[in-house]
Amino acid sequence: MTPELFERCQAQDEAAWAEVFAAYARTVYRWAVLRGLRPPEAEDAAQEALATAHRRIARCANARAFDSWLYQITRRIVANMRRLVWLRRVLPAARPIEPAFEGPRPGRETELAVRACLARLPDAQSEVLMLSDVCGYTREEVATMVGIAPGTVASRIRLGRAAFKKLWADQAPAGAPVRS
Amino acid sequence: MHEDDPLPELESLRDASPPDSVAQRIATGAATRAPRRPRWPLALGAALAAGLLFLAVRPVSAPPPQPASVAARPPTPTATPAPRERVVEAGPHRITAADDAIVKVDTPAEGRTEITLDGRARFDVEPLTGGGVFRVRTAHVLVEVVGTSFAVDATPDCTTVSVSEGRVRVTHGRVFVLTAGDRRRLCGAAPTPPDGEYAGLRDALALIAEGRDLDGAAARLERYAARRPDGALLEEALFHLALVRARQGQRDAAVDAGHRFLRRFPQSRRAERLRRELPELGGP
Repeated sequence: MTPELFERCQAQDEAAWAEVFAAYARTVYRWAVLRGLRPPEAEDAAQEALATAHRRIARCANARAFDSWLYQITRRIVANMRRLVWLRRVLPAARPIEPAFEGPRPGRETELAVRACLARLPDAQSEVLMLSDVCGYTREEVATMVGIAPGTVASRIRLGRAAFKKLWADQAPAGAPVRS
Repeated sequence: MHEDDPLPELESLRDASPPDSVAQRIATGAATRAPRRPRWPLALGAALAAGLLFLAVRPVSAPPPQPASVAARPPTPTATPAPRERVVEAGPHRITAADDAIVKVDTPAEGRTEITLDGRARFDVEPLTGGGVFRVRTAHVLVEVVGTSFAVDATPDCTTVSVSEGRVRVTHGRVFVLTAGDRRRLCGAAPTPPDGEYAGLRDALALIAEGRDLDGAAARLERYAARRPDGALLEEALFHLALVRARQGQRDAAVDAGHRFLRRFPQSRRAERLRRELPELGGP
């Protein structure tokens, strides 16, 4: 998000918002999927998060803060949706995880295995692992996005990685990336 | 593999992307859910433009006097640009305040704008010309503009200042400068001088703004300058002392205060205004 685009968004320029919606649709969808929503729910959550950002853009301090501010909106919406669909999770005949992404990488089996492992981690560890290892944010950025201290982020990443490795060893699909 | 390296299994999803059709549906759906701006502001704008044009071509006898102090109230619904916010004009500057924010705008002199804020507001400040002042005062801090765009959120406990462009000077016990991208949260009352000169200085500024008891104001400013030679607000005190003495017709005292100000704060932006208003200080 450039400062110019941010200013236009704050002035409610619809063309600027169309650019933002197009640019952030994939990012917000990926956040929602990796936070545990099924693809149709993630699509709905992404639409709602971007529409909420449009309504509340005056509350965002500046262009640099936009990503973390948008993530916080997405996080709340995803949490609400997860509460609404809790019943599906406890039913024994719950549907298996569906593929949410396309393309040759990472491969459907790997994607499903990674998402299954993330879903089995404690929520706090899964969230920081998703932001740091999947999305590539720094610890400081993750701290801002989640609202915790950078030291806590580091600790959760360390514990999360250890737990993830254990889960992965039990269910890694053939041909999945291998740790060197 | 280094401990800080991301797990390759997780990193393999870094470029994962939904199908284009999904991304497109999200963008379209978000645009549909986002509130559309009503069209009536266009009609209202056209009507206002026509009205202004009429006023511009019509002979005018004298402009109506501008009140020195205007308490900004929420405008009528026809002037509201977006839900939950209102726009307050303060001369050339623009304030976008939350509907529940209390914004009081004082314009004690030309080019001087003083805001008292309780709540959340964003300020878009036009570049200040020589001697211009734009200040926002909350229960906790004093924010002074050096030509900028910034936001202030004052709650009962804390005040948060976020700067989008330019620089602002914030006083909360001590003075510090925030630049673009900076955000600072300040809580509690600022530490005040032990013997209450801060209150005296505040009273002096209030008396000056109201244009009454200039002798009392000058005495308070003198007292602050004498007792707090390294005080955070000495610049404020000496500057106003020079102007008050000039308003009282005490040229020598005004020039003396002006010289003290220039010796102590030669780089101040206010120096230019003092030289202009007190030619004895070397102005044109």
